[in-house]
Amino acid sequence: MSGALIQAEQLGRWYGQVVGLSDLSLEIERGVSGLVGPNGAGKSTFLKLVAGEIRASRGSIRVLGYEPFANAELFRRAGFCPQQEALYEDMTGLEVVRFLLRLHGFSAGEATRRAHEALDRVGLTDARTRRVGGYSKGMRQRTKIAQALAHGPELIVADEPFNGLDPVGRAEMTALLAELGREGVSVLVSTHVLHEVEALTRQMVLLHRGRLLAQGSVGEVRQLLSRRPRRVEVRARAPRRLARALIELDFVSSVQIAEQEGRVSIETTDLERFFGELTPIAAQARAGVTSLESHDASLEAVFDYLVP
Amino acid sequence: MIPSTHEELYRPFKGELRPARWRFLPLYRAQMAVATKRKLPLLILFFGPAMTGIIVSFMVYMRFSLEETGAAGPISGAGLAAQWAAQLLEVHNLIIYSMKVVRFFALLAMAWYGAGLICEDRRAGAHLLYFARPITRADYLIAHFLTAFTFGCCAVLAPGLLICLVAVFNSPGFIFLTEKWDVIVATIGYSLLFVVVLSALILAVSALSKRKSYALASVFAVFMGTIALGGALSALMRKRDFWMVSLASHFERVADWWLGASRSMHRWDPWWSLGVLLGLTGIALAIVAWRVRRMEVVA
Repeated sequence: MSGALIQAEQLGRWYGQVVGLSDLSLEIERGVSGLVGPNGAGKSTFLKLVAGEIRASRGSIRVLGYEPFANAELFRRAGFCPQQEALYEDMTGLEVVRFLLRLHGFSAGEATRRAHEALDRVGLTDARTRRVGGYSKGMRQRTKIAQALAHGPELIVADEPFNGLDPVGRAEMTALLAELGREGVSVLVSTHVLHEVEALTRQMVLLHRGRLLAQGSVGEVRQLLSRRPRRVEVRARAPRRLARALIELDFVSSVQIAEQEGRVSIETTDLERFFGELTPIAAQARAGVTSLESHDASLEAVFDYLVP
Repeated sequence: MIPSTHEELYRPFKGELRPARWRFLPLYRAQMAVATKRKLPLLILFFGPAMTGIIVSFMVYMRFSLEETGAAGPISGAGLAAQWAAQLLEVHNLIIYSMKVVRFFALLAMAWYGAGLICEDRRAGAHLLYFARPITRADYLIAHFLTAFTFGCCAVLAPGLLICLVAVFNSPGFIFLTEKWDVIVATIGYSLLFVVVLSALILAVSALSKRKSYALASVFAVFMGTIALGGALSALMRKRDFWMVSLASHFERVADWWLGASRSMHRWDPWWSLGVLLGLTGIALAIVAWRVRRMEVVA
C-alpha cells in the first residue's frame, strides 16, 4: 500500500493550560520509526493521537488514511502498546490478550488461538497461564506488546516499550520490533533511550517541548547541522604527532590530546574530507592509529546538539 | 524474546470482523471474571444475603407447612380465608424485613466490587487498551455499570426472588401468586431501583476518586454520613422530615411505599423520595459520563 503512514498538519493538543503538542506538521513513512525526545516532549501525546485515544485540540492527523480518534476501522488495523501498566493483575497473560481480542470482535476460539500465538511470539509461552500480578516488568511489557500485535495489525504503536527492561530484555525487545518491521509491519516506537531507537531504525522524529525538532535519518538530521563541527576521536600510539599533523588542516577547527590514554579528540567542519585525509596523514606521521570513532553520527550527539 | 518456538510468521489479519452488536459484553465478562477471581471476598460479602435469603425462605416455608399440618379439624370457608390472609400477611412482612436486612449487605458488596472499577482502570491506564479497540465510551460505561449492577442484583434481587418463589410454591393453590403478585412485582421493582441507584452512585464516586480505597471510604461516607446528618438534624430541630437528607431514608420510604409496610417511620410524600433517588441517579450517571469522557484529557 502506498502513501504515508501518518500525516499530521499543524497538530496541536493541550491539556488545559499545558501544551502537550504544538503546531506539529510531519509525515511518517511506512516501516520502523523512532519517536525520540526527553520527558515531557510530547511523545506520548503524539502516540495517543496516532492510536486514536485522544482528540486533537487543533490541526489534523491521519493514520493509514483514517481520522484516528475512536475509529473502529483503524483500531482493527493498528495495535497500541501504552506506557502505563494497563493490565489486570488478577488475570493471566493469556486471559488478558484473549479478552482484548474479544473486544476486537474475534470469536472465542479465534481469540484463544491468536492469544497463544502472540504470547509465543513475545516469548511468554511458559508464563501465559500465570497471573499478571506475578510477572516481572519485562514480562508485562511483552504482554502489552503481545496484545498490540495479536490481532494482526499493519501498524504497531509502542509507547516506551523499553521502560523497565534489563539489558537482555531491551535487546530482545529491539530484536522483536525490528523483526516485525522486516515482516512488513510498520512500527512507531517512542523512547528517550536513544541508542535503542538507533539500534532499531535510522528513521526518527525528534520532539522537544511539544514541537518537531527534526525528522529523517540520523545522518540526514546530522547533515542539517553542517555548520556545527563534528567530533571524531582517534586513538593512536603517538597522539601528539598525529595532533600536530591534523591541526594543519583548514577543516579541523580544534584538536585536544589526552596523552595518557593515547586519545586525540578532533572537531572538524567537513567530516567526509577529514576521513579522506586522515589515513595518509596518520601514515606520514607514523601515528599508529588503533581506533577511530565518530560519536557525532550517533543519535545521542544529534540530540545533544538539537536540544538546548 | 526470541523463543524456541519462534518459527511462526506474522500473519496480518485479512478477514472481515463483523462489528459486534453488544460490544460491551466482552468487557463486562472480563470485569466479572476479574472480580470473581478472589473467592474469599465473594464468600464474605455474599454470605449475609445468602443466609438472609435461605433463613427467611425457610421461615416462609415453615409458615405455610405448619398451618397446613396444624389444621386439625374441619375449617369453614371463612376460617380458611382468614388463615390464608394471616399467612400471606406474615410472609409479606417477612419479605419487607428481608429487603431491609439485605440492603446493608448489598451496599457492602456493591461498594467492594464497584468502587475500584473506574478509578483503578484510570490509575493503571487500562482504559488505554480498551479505547484502542472498537468500543466506545458508552460501551465502557455500560460494561462497568452492569458489573456493579450484577453484584447488587446477587445481593438484593436474588434473595428477594428466592423468598418469593418459596412463598409461591408453598402457598396452598399458589395463592401467594394470585393474591400477592403485587408484592413480587414490588420486590423486584424495589430491588432494581436500589441496585440501579447504588450502582450509579458508586460508579460516580469511583470516577471521581483516585484509588479504590478512597472510593470505598467515600461511598460509606455518603451513605453513613447522610444518615448521621439526617438523625442529628431531626433530633436538633425536633422534626422528622430532616431525615430527608439521608439517602437510606429515601430507600426506606420507597420500600415502605412499594412493599406496603403497615407502619412507616417517615411521613413525607414518597414521590419525593423516588424523585430524589432518580435525580441522584441521573446526576451520578452524568458525572460518570463526564469523567469517562475526560479520561482522554488526563490520559
